Amino acid sequence: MNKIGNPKILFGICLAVILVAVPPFIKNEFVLNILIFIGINAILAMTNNLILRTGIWFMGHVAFYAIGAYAVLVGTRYLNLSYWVIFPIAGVLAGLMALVFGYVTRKVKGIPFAILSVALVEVVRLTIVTCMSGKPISCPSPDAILFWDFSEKIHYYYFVFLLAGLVLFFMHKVEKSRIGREINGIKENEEVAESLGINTGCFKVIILGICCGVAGLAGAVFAPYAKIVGHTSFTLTRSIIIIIYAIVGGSDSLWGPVIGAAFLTILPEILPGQASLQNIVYASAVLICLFFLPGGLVTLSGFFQDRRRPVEGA
Amino acid sequence: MSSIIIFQVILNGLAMGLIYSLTAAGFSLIYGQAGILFFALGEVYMLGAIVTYVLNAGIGVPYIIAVAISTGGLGIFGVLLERYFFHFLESENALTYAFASLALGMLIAGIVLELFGEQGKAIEAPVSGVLNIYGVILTKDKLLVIIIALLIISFLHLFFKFTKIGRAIRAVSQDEDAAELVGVSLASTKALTFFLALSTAGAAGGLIAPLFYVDAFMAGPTLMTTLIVVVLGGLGSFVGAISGGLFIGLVQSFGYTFVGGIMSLITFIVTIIVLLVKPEGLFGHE
Repeated sequence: MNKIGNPKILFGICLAVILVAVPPFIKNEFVLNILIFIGINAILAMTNNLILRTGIWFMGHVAFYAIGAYAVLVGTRYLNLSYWVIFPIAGVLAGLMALVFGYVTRKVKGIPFAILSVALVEVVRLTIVTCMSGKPISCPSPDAILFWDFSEKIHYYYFVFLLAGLVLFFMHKVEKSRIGREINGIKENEEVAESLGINTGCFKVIILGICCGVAGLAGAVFAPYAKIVGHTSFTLTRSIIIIIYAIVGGSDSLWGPVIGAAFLTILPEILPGQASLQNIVYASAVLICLFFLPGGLVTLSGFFQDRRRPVEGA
Repeated sequence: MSSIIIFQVILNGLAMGLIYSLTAAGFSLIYGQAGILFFALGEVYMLGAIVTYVLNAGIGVPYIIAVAISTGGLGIFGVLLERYFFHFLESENALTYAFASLALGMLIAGIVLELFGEQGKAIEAPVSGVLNIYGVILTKDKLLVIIIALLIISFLHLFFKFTKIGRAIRAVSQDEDAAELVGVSLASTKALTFFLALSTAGAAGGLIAPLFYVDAFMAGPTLMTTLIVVVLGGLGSFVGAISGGLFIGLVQSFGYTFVGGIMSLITFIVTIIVLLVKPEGLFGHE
């Protein structure tokens, strides 16, 4: 079949072209800011969703996001390393820490694991407060590559866009591959998956490591973009909202977390009223989705539903 | 001089610990009974304090009666939640319920923040002054919290131990199908559980109101500590919730006095270690 004729691929290409071509003409910093945060949030939501889909009750994504951000902060500000050296290190560091966390906690499952990961978020945040005196610290900009000097928001935008696109592509590949089928198998029934020769324990730890590593990269982008980094960006609420993106968008679909992140990042900005309304908006969106759209926003249109629905009554 | 401090620290620890015991008992109760991680419990606790504040400082109802009204009111709120909120959320996935209650909590917190503002409000303590027993100086406001909390805990204990419906609730948390088979009505035990759990958490909020400022931000930290207490004591265990609460209360009280702010970090690390060694908690069983 002609691949270009496939409406989904066509849609992807169109979206990519629009997202590449239009932003340079956006002179409004506010809009660009939202777009950048949609990118960061989408990365976090996609990776956290993959972990949750493996059947791990993981609520500590923000801990590794924070580790990435602070790795960059410490590396560029205190160790005078180049941003491009520390950027991959931040991802690897977060990934390794997640591997260690996953390995150490491999026997803990279900709710105790959820609470363990919640405790991890607080441990990381409180460690930051203790070691960094609790005050926000300014983070230097990345070094220039040719004319690309990260002095404007649009530079960050393309960086985030590239990263989010890669993560989306990765998720797509995972979905179509044997790993994707194994994830679905583990989610449906872990015992059966194990009996079919999938090393579920090892598998979960690796998924945790990779996804948290990507969260670390997202943090590494966030730190120089935000310019001033403080522990208040890495609270448990943030971690929960990342999961909420996926639930609202549709956790069973490739595009679900992206759509959820876009929707919930834009929604509070365009609504009138001050920031305290944000939580009300988030909470209402989640409740409406849970009650009326159990499959998330993607179920509104059949277009995005590319994933096999779980077998009814299984 | 130092013995006065020690007794004060113990008294503070006991008062806070019993408050945590109450919220943890509420959380454990709902988990054991309905299998729901009721993350909105922190907000229920906050509502308990705020309703008490509104009744006491706003309308002028005496403190104890205000606490009683908010306790009962939140209990009824719990029954309504069970009947009209969780009941319609037909899902096999326990995470769905957890996130529904999280969202509910965020909604309550947001609405309270809109209506109530960011400014903390203070309730006048119903009793003040100190009690001097053979040189041991005890502040009366904390003693009042301890006494009422102990009364509630003993009431709950006796209720679960000796009444028929209390035993039915315990039976359901052990084995739902078997309990239904011998004639326990699941609908009524669930409703009663929600009533008891939310009124216990609401009472905790009402009791704490005179000791601290009442504001919309008191829910988060309390939920966090409650989770730690519940996990340390063992999910679904009443005895575990009570003893875990007292333990954490005393540890925090001593820690904040003698170690300082790093104490909360230590609490979390201890929790992680306990969970790694004994995932079912100190008093729980598989």
